[in-house]
Amino acid sequence: MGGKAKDFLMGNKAVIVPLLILIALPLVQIDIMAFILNLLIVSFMYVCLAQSWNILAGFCGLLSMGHCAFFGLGAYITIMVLNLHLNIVWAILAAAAANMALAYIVGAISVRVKDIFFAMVTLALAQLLYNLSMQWVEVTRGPRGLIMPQIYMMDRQTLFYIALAMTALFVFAIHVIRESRMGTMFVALRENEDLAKSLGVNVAKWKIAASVVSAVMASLVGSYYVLYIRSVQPPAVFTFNVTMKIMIVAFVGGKGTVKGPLLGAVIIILDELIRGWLGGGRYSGLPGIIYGIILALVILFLPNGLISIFRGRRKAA
Amino acid sequence: MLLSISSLDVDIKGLNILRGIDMVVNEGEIVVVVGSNGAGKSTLMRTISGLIRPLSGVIEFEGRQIQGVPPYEITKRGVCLVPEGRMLFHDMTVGENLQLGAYHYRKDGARLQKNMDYVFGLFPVLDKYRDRKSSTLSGGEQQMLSIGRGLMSGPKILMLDELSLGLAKNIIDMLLRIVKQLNSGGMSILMVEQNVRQALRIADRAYVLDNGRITLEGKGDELLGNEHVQKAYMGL
Amino acid sequence: MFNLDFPSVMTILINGLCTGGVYGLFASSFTFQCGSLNITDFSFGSWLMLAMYLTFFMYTGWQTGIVPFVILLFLCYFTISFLISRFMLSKRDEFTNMIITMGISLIIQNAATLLFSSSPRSLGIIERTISIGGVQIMQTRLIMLVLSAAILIGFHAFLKRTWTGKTIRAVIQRKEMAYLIGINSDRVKNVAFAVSYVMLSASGIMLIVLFSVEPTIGGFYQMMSFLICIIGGLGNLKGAFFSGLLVGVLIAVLNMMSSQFAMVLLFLIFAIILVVRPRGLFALKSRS
Repeated sequence: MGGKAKDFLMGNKAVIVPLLILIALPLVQIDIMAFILNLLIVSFMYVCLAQSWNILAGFCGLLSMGHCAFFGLGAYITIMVLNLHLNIVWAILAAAAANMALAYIVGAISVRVKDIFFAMVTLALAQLLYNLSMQWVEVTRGPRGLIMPQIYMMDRQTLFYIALAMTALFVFAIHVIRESRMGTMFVALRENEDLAKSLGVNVAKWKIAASVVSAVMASLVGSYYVLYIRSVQPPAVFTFNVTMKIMIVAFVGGKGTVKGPLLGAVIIILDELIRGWLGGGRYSGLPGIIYGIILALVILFLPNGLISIFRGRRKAA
Repeated sequence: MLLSISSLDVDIKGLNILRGIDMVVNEGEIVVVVGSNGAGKSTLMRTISGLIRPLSGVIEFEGRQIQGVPPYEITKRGVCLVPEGRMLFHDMTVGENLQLGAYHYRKDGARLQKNMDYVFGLFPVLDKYRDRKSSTLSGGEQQMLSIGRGLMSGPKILMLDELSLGLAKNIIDMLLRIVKQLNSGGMSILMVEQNVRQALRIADRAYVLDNGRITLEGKGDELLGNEHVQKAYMGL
Repeated sequence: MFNLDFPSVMTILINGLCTGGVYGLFASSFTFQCGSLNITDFSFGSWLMLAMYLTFFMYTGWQTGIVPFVILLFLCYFTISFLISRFMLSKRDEFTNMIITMGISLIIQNAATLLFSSSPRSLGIIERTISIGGVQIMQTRLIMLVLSAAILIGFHAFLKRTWTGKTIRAVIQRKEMAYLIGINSDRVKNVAFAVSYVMLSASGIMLIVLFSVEPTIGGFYQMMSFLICIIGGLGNLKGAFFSGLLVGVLIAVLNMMSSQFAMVLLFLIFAIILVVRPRGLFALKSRS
């Protein structure tokens, strides 16, 4: 359809300007630039995680409520390998490989266990990893967590560009997947699994594929998290709060869409800003309250996410 | 006029289901709506009872507009739908199902008892099984219970959606006799039927619904003799 | 280390069972929301945590007396949850409800941090024990088990016998049909949701007697309710209660075997049960 091609073009044109601004941004020398870059990096990470979650939940209809497991496992394996003083690339690959194994199991489970029940299995797996990382003190140092060796430190500007590149890569990858045969299969599984099965689609294969792709993406973010934060503690990566934040970004933006999670980053920026403004000290907790209220309001008035604002305008035009 | 519908349009999920429906049920009449599967018969019934909000048009009951009124209010005013598929509360007993039918006047114990006796009079088998789970009843008994539960609400007009679906011939005859009996007692009836011949026989008037529009209307026996109706709905 | 003679094993099992009773109670309340009312409530754990805090302050500071406090708490929870259901949850799809309740959960959790600080608090009640043939049974825990069972039996009777209860069941089974016999199904659903919150607040009162509370503890109870409710068969009240008991015993046994990896093993067992029997151990037969 011509309309679709035109829409896509329009969408891309709209992306070019913000992208250029983002690329040039670190070159500006002002005091709060460090703060802005950190803010953007955190949002980029959540956007990437939301994209990864979106593959499973948005496209395939597999509601993963333990998505932090992939992210956290990626982070832990990365930092463990770095502590062996190996090359960063090996660390990233090892993390991705571990996640592939986990994702294979999750994908295989999803063939058998559906809907809310699948959500529960993923929840249980994430909680299992959390408890393991807390208790297996010999390997993980428990609640104290692990620290990255100094030699792998990078400056903020480089980290920012890596995050930006990762985000761009993820968005592009998802777009390609969506247009490909794989994407069609994913949506077919979501819409009517029995029908797909009766048409000869290998349901198990595609579910595992979705799970693996999603997990590897989350794993990359996990590796990046280690490079950026330079340490890992169980509560920061393995708790339901992390999964909840990922889901919130995807929902607030617009579930099952490619551009949705990009818009959803607004909520993370808002959260970080409020926390930067009121956080710590006497008012700890207050930012969370404001964040919760904003979240509830957004979803009450825009149940289809922020993306519906733009869709609505296009329809009206 | 007890119930009158004028230029009713109904959409479901963007599809036009009903278009420009005009129909009337007078006090004490039996009116039958016939039509093929997917013609919109059930949608019509569900719209009258308030489960579906019409796109436009007017539905009047006893001179008051009821479109857009919530379904539980419509039931209180005396419009009662006995839905397709019976929709019994399966883990409750026969007695409890009937009791729930009397929900909107539940504090009036005397009225409840009176109506209960009335229903048991019509369907003695329900009295016999009153403490059984409704899921253990046979198809015919379940349909009786469904009608009985509808009657418990004390309707002025009883709407029956696919009364005869999946039932044996002798049971259908018996149920239609009951319908006739209720009607002679003064109750108005609006029914949708697959079993066209038998339904038209007891009908005062009938409408033919085709693709969401009313294509034909007339006296019951007129339509029974109509060539088009015979060909399309009675397999002659 | 302790020696594993028969009385001490029994002591551990029975006390685990008693703790499990409270798990069973809040999981039943949750399964009623999730399975019967189709509301996946992510603020459940946080409300539980709040009830624990309020009871804590009643006991240590306010001195209002237990009976007026319980009545007041029930009333508050009933009203607030009714309003939440009425104005925020009803007539919205499942996913929207999830996010809204997540928002509510964040608000409560952070409000607790702001008002009560993040340090754990505990009533520190020293339990009296009853000794039967060497088996030490903790008195308070036993009372909690009996109370939980009593509340659930009461709730069951409420659903079976009263008009309101029957109406709720009618709405749960066939919402449209309930409309057709004159029931305002939406309002009844709100009432049912509010009733489940009364059970929730009762579990909160009991939990603070046994365990300590901190603002983030809601997440743990949220997870436990989810898992126990699925293992018990979604929507199955009895199943949830018995699963609660089972989990109580399981935790006790796992702690006995390896206190380091007890929780890891617990969630491993959860995952295995869910994979082998996705509909739970006590799945309702009528659900297809």
